[in-house]
Amino acid sequence: MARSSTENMITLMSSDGEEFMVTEKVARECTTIRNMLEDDCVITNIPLPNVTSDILSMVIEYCMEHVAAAEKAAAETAEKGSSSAPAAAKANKDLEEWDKAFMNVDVYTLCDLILAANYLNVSGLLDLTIQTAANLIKGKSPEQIRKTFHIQNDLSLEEEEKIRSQTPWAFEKSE
Amino acid sequence: MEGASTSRRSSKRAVTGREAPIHSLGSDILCSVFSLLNHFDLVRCSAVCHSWNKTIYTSSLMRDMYYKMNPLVKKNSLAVPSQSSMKRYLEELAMEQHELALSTGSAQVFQWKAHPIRTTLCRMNRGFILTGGDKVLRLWSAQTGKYMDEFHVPTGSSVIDYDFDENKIVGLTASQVCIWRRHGQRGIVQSQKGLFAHGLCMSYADPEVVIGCEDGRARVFDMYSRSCSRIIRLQSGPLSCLTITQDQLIAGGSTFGSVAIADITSGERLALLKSSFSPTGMKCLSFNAQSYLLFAGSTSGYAHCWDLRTLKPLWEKRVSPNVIYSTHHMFKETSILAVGGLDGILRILDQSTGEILKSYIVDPRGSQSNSSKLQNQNIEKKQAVSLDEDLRVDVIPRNSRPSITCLAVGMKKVVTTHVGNFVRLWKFNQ
Repeated sequence: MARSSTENMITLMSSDGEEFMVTEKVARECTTIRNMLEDDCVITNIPLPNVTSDILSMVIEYCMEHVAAAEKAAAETAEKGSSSAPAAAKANKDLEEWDKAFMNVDVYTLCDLILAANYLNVSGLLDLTIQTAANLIKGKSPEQIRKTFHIQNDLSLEEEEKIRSQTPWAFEKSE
Repeated sequence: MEGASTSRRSSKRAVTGREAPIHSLGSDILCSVFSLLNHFDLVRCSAVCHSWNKTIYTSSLMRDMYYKMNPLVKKNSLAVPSQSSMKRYLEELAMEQHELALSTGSAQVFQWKAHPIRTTLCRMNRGFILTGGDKVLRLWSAQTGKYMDEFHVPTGSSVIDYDFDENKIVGLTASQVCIWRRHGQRGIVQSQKGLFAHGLCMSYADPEVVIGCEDGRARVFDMYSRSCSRIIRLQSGPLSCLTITQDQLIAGGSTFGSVAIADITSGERLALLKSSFSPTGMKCLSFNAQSYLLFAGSTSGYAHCWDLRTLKPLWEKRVSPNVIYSTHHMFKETSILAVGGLDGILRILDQSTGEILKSYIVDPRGSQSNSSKLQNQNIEKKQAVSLDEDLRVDVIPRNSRPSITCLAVGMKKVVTTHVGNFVRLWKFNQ
């Protein structure tokens, strides 16, 4: 993607020491970083000790995609005076599709992404990842949920039966 | 553009870590995830592990977030969620939905033959339907109607009454109690012969099974010692129906039209509840452990309700022109009572007034019904229609309302057995 050379570049450093050069615009998608930049405008190098390189690269990928989509929409609006509704709807749908494909990750990565999105305060990514986690729970039995999230069952048989018998209306699936 | 089409990488972190990844999220984020779930999913999450259970039921953030997304529609008494526990609130949400579905909704009906010759009884418990007929009990999924399992009556006699839970089925033949284990090593425990003769009905709460007999007496059978520990004289006529409460009371209805209440432990008879109308035989009883109300259906089409705290009648209404064979409600659910009988109409009553909220039959116009083959099982799909309030039953052709011999209520669903040897599963939607 072509970029004007006048754009400010920011270096983000992951917990494992990897450096990522991004445009200020992309970095500003993270509210946490935007706040840092607003406090101190000459900052160009930001260490992120809570985010590993593989997760940070994914967060950046998400931010770049969403910045590009917003730029494209803005450009179209400027060109035609106003954006056409069908075109905007299609662009939205494309971005949704991209998000969906982006969320095709294992639960370890998903949880790391949630933590990173929360720490960097990328609200779109946080909503997306949390919704994905909720979707992984929906319609499943407790045992299937444990399997999905690799959760160890620390409830005794009696405890689990007690929970079930107190709320029998939620356990009407013949598993 | 990078990324969209390339396969997603997985985190390099070793999967061997003891801590589940989702536990690293912390309870605030977890609450955000949970607040996107419906109450069914949320309660199932509470049975996943200790920490989730604690977050769901004790976190005030959780309660506030969830309440914001899912306000109760009508129960204003629970408007302030901080005053009530999360468990109660979720239950209210579920029951509200159940009530709404049965009293205003439409239903899809799944119909199938459950037994080759006769299907006379049904019970429903946590997603399973257990039907009784011929000399066998059959277990079905209450989601799809799919056949799951079956349990044979050892002596070749018929099962007169039964009930079941997660682990076992307790059944009554004319002269024996049979207990089937549902899981693991299958086995049957039978009471020895001669403990009682002419058993007509039963009800159980571990470890006791109470059997109502033709001589008007109830026999209390201990499942562990397999012996009869007490005989309680309840009625002078045959005990046609019987139920027990969580605090050791027996209610026994007789064919002569009264319901006797006695203490199981002492055997003392506490009250004899009667209809204020002409005596009619009691056909069925159901007790609500939440509201303490006892419901009965009688041969003359009356539905009755007594409050067991005061032993006084609450209401009495003729809801059907003919005999009522079955009344049922969901465990601890205090708004909806389903009633079925000879006239073949499924009626939904208000538990607190006896008012008929809805009457349903299967749509006779749905001539070409969909049927789906589930393995070898033929399940017909039909649609329910609700009847106008002032419609007279006798104008509906007999064949479009086959008699209901038994019914049971589950979350947003009712199962009925019919003359003509089939089972119907009514699944209601809002």
